[in-house]
Amino acid sequence: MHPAFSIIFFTITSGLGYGLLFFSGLHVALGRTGNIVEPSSNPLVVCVVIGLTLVLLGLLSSTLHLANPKNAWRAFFRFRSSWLSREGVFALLTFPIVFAFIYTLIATETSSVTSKTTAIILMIISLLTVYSTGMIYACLKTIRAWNSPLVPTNFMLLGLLSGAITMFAILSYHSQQSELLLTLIMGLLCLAFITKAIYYYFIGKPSKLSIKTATGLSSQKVRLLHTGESSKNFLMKEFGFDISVKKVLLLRFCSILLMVVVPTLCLITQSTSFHFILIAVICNFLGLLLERWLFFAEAKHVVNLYYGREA
Amino acid sequence: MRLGLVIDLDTCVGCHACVVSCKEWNTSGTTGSLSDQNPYEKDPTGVFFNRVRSYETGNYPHSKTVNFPMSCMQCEDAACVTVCPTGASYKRKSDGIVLIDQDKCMGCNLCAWACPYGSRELDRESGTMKKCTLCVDRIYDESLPEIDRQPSCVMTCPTTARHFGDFDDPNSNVSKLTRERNGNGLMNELGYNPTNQYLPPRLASSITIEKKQKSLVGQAKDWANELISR
Repeated sequence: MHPAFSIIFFTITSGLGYGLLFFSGLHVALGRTGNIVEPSSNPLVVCVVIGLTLVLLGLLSSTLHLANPKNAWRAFFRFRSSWLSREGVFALLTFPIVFAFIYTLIATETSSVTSKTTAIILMIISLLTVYSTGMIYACLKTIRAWNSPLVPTNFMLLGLLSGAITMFAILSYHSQQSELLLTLIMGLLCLAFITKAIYYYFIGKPSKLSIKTATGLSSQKVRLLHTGESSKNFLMKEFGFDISVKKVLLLRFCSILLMVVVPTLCLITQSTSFHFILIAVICNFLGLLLERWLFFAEAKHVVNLYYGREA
Repeated sequence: MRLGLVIDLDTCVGCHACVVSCKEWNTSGTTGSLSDQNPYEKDPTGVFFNRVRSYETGNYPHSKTVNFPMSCMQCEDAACVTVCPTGASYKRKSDGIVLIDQDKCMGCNLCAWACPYGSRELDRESGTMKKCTLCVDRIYDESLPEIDRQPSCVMTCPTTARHFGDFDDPNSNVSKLTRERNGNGLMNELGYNPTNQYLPPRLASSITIEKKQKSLVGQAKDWANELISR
């Protein structure tokens, strides 16, 4: 698949934004709110604002991918069948919930039932949105590398991981440290690495589909003679992205190194130094960019079979 | 009603007349125009509802060229309709034709990703997705003589490799052809239940190669030649 930057940026930033919102909710649900008297200096409010901004940026970036954005508002009306529509609805629902969340933080008791309930609703909607983002890709039977529950799992884990690391950085900037969050980050780093490894194993298995199954021709040998076209058409441009195995392996290694290994080392050795935490955040984000680029570049659409290529 | 096409892979000669005629009819039809980019320059590209690819099967002397026209299969369980977030893509209950409402489409490409047959193409100029309409603006046009109320590709095919009809009627020409010639849908394993059916190429008797017995002198010459070439 052609890796479009607008979609790559959208899935990462919205994942990171929802991760931040999720952990802000968790923070309140566990009753660790800190000083709410001055909202501007409260790290929790900073987390929520940054999270919401990233979600908004992601959504705006996703509309750049649309060829006819003036009809984008119609995307909320097929909630019952389309995952893209569900994603849009959940993303839109987040905004009133976040405003209610901030309001309860400032107006009510920090450990009141209302604020805790809103926090839990925020956590649920954040996870649901990222799950729906993953399902947009996972529901496509035409792309073997995507048609798996591993895809939404991976989207959720990586969103939570990047959100948690960013929140840890914001907390430490306000000279607060959360042992619990650090433990959670370590757990997420392990889980994200394991699911990604399982995913790479899953997509490495040979495909059962071939040019013979696609054309239904029963002959021993079927090969493409001529595409019938003199230059690349829409299908070849959209689905015919090529990348060598050597390059894939190198990029996979780099993405895991940046996304998991470097943050782990930074946080294990220097969890109190803000500079090292910042390095962890930046490396994690760059690793995610590579990971998501590969997610698209490695996926092969079945239309390729008709062009005599693998799928 | 379940309208669709039967495509005879045995008789298709790969002349691309259906491709051209489809473009000609539909560029001025309900989903037109079908835009082209760089039509007279180095890398011409544009929207087509119907494309023909050619394949070679078997090994000599059993080899055969199979020309393979592909357009929308009007699937029974059309994933392109399910994934559409705007409701622009829809499947008509009355005749099973899958269509795109050009006024609703936002051009997100997701339906093209969901289609295993490459039947949907984005028009760069209008920013909307376009696909085969089974010439819906022609097959119901009562101002045309009844024989002309068929898709443009079917009308134009010089070898009658394309047939149009109702698959729900067991006595229609398409149902009979599918039954008699073992027609099958493409990529049935994905479970989209395509309506269009493909008739496999008939088994042709292969060309026999006769080895002529050479005269004694000829054999001796061959032997000598072989000896020298070593």
